[in-house]
Amino acid sequence: MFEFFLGPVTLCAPGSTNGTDDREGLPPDWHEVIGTAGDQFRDAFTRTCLYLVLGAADVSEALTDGGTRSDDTVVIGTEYGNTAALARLQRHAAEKGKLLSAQYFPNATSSSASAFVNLRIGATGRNMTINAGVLTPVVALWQALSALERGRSDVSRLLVGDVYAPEAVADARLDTPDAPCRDGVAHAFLRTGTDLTAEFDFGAADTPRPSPRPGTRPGLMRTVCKAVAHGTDAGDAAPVAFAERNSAFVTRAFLDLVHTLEPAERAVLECHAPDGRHATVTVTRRHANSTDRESQ
Amino acid sequence: MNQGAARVFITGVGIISPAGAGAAPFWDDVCAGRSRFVELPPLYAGMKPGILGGRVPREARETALAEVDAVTRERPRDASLFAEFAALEALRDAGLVPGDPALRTAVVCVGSSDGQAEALEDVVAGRRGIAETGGFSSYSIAQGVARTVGAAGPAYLLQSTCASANVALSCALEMLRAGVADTAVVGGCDPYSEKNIIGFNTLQAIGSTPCKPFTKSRRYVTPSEGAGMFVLQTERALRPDATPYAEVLATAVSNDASHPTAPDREGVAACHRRSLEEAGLKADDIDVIFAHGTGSRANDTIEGGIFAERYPRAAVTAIKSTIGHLMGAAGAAGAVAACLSLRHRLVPPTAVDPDDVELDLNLVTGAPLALPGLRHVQNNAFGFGGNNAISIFRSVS
Repeated sequence: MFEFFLGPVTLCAPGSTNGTDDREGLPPDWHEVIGTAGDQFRDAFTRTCLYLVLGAADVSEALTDGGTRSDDTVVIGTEYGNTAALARLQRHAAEKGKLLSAQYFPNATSSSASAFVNLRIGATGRNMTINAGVLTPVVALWQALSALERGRSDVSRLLVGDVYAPEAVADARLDTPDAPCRDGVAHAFLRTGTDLTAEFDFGAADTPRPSPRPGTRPGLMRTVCKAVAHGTDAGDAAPVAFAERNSAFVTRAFLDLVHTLEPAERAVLECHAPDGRHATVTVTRRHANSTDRESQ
Repeated sequence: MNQGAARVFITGVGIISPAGAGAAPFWDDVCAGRSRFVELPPLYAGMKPGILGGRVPREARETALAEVDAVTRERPRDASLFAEFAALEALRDAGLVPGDPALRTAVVCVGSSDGQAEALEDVVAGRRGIAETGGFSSYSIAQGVARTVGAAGPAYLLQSTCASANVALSCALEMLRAGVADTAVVGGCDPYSEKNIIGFNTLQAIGSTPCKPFTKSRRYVTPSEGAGMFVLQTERALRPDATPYAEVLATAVSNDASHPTAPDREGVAACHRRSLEEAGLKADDIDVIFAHGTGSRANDTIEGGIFAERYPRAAVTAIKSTIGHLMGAAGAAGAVAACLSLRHRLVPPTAVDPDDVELDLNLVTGAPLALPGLRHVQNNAFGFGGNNAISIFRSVS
């Protein structure tokens, strides 16, 4: 069991970029927050992650641009991460030949978003980019909280989601052809504390899975629900199902629910993968409510 | 710092590399200082011919194909092929078989920088359709390893550039110590990636002379491919007749937060301090260091400087001089070599001219160094993006 304090939870879902730089519905302060330097090299996923962490920097001990360093942990849970930048490097090499800039490559690794997040906020703690498929939100949260529990960091930054390149959409349709791929990344600020406890259960792929709840499709199931006591589902909060591919939305919904918990209430996130693996995290509020919540 | 109660051991290792399929040819090559680098074909107009790289030989690939299951054989992707072969070898080495009850709830955690590279690259280049490739989601690598070994617990892939395998080890270690499972199948894999070769070429980091770590004449990284996997087990999961290679004392993970590609001396030094702190050791306790040792000017200057200043007693070796830089699997190759060193009490050499060594290092060159009293081995892996991860293993005998 982990103990922690949950800070602001934010979501950036600016509308489909389709892997290009043509973005609709960007937050009005987008360029003000992340700047424009390097935009020809960094992709939409990196920029979205930067927007979220820099927008929340006022509550971090780390300052932007590496002015002050912290031991913050950064965990990014994503299925396709920087795919757009990887594909662009390959295409531009074919097009530009000897004129290909060396600045593409640092932006075109599978963990470039994490690298630039760490760099911009001066976070020197653990950092990792995790892909656990449908279970990504639970596994990423586990690693973020483990860093706090083991005393490796006082703060963990959790980013979960995807901004889909066209190739990523095609890949996602191979095993979940009906699940929509909507762009979005959720960000949560986790800190050492005793307000909340988190209990995790990782179910084996060969154990019976519960029947899909109404509104969910077989094979890919994530639900969020509120409960008042162990073993009892909440009366007014039937499980809410999320059938879309992107983990960002269920992560944001779950952590928003955590913010509403009264003492002894629990929020439960369940993830079931098509291969039978499943994972559950149950967060219980111990003490006074935290209302530190915002939305973007 | 709370390290958790469970002691965790490495009970089996497996590897596929330019040396061939299996730990035996790998150990033979690194002990002999024998490299098998080949010239890589130019991939775009900005790349000259003659650039050296390490490739998994065709015979080794065929050996791997014969061992993996029908699902992988039907549409083989190199990252999965390499990782699944290495995992099967590690299982056998640990005295386990796929589907063993000890593996049922096992954690599977694989580190990779380039993942299913050729699938994505073929799609981008228009050479194959996405369905024909089998897909490029990196999760499919961990999923394939889990299916291959019969592990039904949490399976996930870690991406932290060339530190990926050590970060994967760290994440799995945390889960075992927290009681999520008693067994984990862990490691790293990376295939030949066009995107990666192009990227390194734009940085002028690869070339026609082989990797020569810690030498005055070092110039280039020699990119390579392969996978290394190992079986981790908690003390209570050990079989009565088990003879573990090592106890895993620590795997520290940190970030420089300094520069997208260049390493930072203070950041790398901080990771060294963290690993010693987590292991409860001092620098003088370290007998052998498997260096990251890429052969680049920047890495070796910083890493070698730290060794010279803080680890004057430790024997240092850099196996990239022999097998090249396995990218996200580099830390796994180092971990397999560290385990074999502990088993054989032998430190493989760095395949460089001893007269060319730049710093005042205790760099092992020439013949393997016998260390009968070998106790603590450190394994370094660093990567672009300021990623640092250092493991420390202890002899169990």
